[in-house]
Amino acid sequence: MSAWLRQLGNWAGPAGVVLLVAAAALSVARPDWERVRAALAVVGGLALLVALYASFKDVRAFFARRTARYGLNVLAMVLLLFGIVALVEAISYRHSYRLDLTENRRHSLSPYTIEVLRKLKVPVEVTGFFRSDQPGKRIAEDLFKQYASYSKGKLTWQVVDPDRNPGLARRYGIESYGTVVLDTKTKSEKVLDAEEEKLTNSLVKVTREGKRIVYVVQGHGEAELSNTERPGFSGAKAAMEQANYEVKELLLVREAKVADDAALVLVAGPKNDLLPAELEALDAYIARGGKVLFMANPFQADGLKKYLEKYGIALGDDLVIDRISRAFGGDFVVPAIFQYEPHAITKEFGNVLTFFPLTRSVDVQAKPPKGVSAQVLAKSGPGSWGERTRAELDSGAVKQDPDDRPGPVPVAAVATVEATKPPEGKTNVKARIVVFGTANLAANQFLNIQGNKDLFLNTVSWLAEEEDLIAIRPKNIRQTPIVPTATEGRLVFWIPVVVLPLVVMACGISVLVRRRYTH
Amino acid sequence: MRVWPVFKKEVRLYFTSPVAYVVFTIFLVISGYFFSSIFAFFSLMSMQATMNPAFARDLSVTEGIMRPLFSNISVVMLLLVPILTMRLFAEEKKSGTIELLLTYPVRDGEVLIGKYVAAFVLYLVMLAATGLYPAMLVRFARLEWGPLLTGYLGLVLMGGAFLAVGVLASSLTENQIVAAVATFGALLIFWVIGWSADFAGPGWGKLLSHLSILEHFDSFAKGVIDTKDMIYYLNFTILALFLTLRSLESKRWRG
Repeated sequence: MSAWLRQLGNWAGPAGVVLLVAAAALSVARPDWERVRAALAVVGGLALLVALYASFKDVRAFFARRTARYGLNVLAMVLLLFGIVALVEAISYRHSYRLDLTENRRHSLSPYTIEVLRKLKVPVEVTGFFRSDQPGKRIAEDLFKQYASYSKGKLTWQVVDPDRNPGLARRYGIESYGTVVLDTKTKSEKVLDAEEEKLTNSLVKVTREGKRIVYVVQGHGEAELSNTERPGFSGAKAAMEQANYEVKELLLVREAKVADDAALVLVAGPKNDLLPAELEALDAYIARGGKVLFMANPFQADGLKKYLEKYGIALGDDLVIDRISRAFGGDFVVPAIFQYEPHAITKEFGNVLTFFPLTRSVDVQAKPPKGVSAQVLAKSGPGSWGERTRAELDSGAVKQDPDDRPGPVPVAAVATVEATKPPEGKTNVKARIVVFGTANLAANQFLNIQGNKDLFLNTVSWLAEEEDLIAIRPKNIRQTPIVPTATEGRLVFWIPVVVLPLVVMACGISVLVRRRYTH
Repeated sequence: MRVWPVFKKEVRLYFTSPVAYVVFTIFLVISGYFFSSIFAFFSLMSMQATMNPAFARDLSVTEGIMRPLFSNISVVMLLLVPILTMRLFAEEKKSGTIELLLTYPVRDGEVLIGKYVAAFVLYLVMLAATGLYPAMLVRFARLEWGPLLTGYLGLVLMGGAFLAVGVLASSLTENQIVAAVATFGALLIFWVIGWSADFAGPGWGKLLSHLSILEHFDSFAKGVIDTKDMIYYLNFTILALFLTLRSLESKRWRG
């Protein structure tokens, strides 16, 4: 081999490496310089080949050595193990099994969510818009991972920073950080907080066909849907819409009939009596197997009392007074309700409080009419009573008189009525009626207090026969507050921080000293 | 198996030299301090909760004391494990006794296992000492045993991975400081690698956060055992120990 070739080889090797590195660097720094990059790569490759050819003897000699053979052998083994580990990781990432050892399984999805995910038929894409440093991001990601793992591949997710992907954020109309978008091919839903309840209900919404309509009767001084003030029903409307109902006003005087597409009719605290024709329209609706929620405020619209008797419900001419309720910061006319009778609506309520501000008693009749079965839904506490004397109420100085109804007083009731004129082709249809003694519990002022919203929405979804849209309450942790005495507080500092380390140090010193003297 | 004599020698070395005691003492002071300050903060929160019940909703010893404590202990271990392992092979290399050790009728694997298990036992003793904290908590409130168990399981698995990396680094150099710093650096990189996940795009981001040590510890700390987290730590350990074995072997064939 000529000397100049050897000389060339010495140069070509390093030059080739430099050129190849430059090509790689360019692909990062200037991705658009494709030709330059390709040229660099080709020249660099050629240079390396030349170098290899020039020092062919050396290369062969190197590989003939024992060390090289061993080295290559080990390299192959290491690469093989890396491959196996990567494979195992990939498999374990896809198919992992999860065991939640907390007492109330609070880091796991509720059975209802899992059921929904298992039954998913269409692919759903979940996109969370989170800032990188947003506190809720990790929690949301954890939720998404769990959702994906139960969905058999139907649900995919990604988390996107809206500041760095403004295009995507604009396409979905993202206005606040932490918004989650659920997408199917045809529908899209936005969730503002990544909580299990909201995610799951949105999931049900995007994957369900059609929308259900709630008709709200108007024209008798009922709570107004558009009113955003304290007594208004705008919050209730928003809550129902969020639960994927369409909420429409219904002027029974004009329509004369409840539309067939009604999922349910809401009569929210009429001040004046409904006209006979309107009540007939409701009767006809119930006879078809309709669903109605009555919220009958005390001392208003007396006609409802007689009307509801037909359906086994007895409205009381009273106002429920609850002295205990004041302990929760409420007034004594805002009874706190924590006794629920077993029913689908209150099934998961346990001891969740609800507040029924300014409510009358709602009982079931001892002997309900034929075809009607009625039951009480909720009762006020034992210290309460139903005050009948208007004079005492007006003066504000109430006391329990002998003719007042002693507590616990029922304040909500449910009746199912056999439909006398069911729609054609259907048998065994039952109408559903729920009566609350007040409309205030769903008014803006009180809707978000304790369990009120859950109670309202559960009632709506039970009436609309949508047991699949039900509140998943966040799992409460068992509260274990710690209030140490001063001495205990000091001990908690001294024992772990000073005493224990000192003991270990003393052991060490004694061992080391003994060793020194024995040797 | 001739693991036992190696193991016995290593454990004796640990306990007759100041290293173990110094590491223990420092570890206990730091984690004890973490415990007592988290405890103080938590009892302050409890006190405020008696005045304002809305505060009390999330007031649980498991979430409020044990979970942050586990994360803190894991950080302390990140700092101290390299010191536990730095000596194992580096010292023998420096003093030349590694030649003796490797020419004994003991296989490389047995030497490795003996030394690794010795360091692991030391680590377990350190963890056992932290059992004092939940034991003190029981006096104030009922503990949830599930999350306590998974927290310690997580620390054991994670410590196993840490120690394996330490052993690997120690087998690569004859300088103990280099071994310790290399271990710490490697672990720290795996600790923070998930942080860049947000900037790496969705696909790469998921890969990076899957590689992160921190990511896999979180579920243990909150009371959840996930097979993929366990497998991650086991894989990490096996890979590091395998590389250590190759590095020990290389002594025989490298010129």
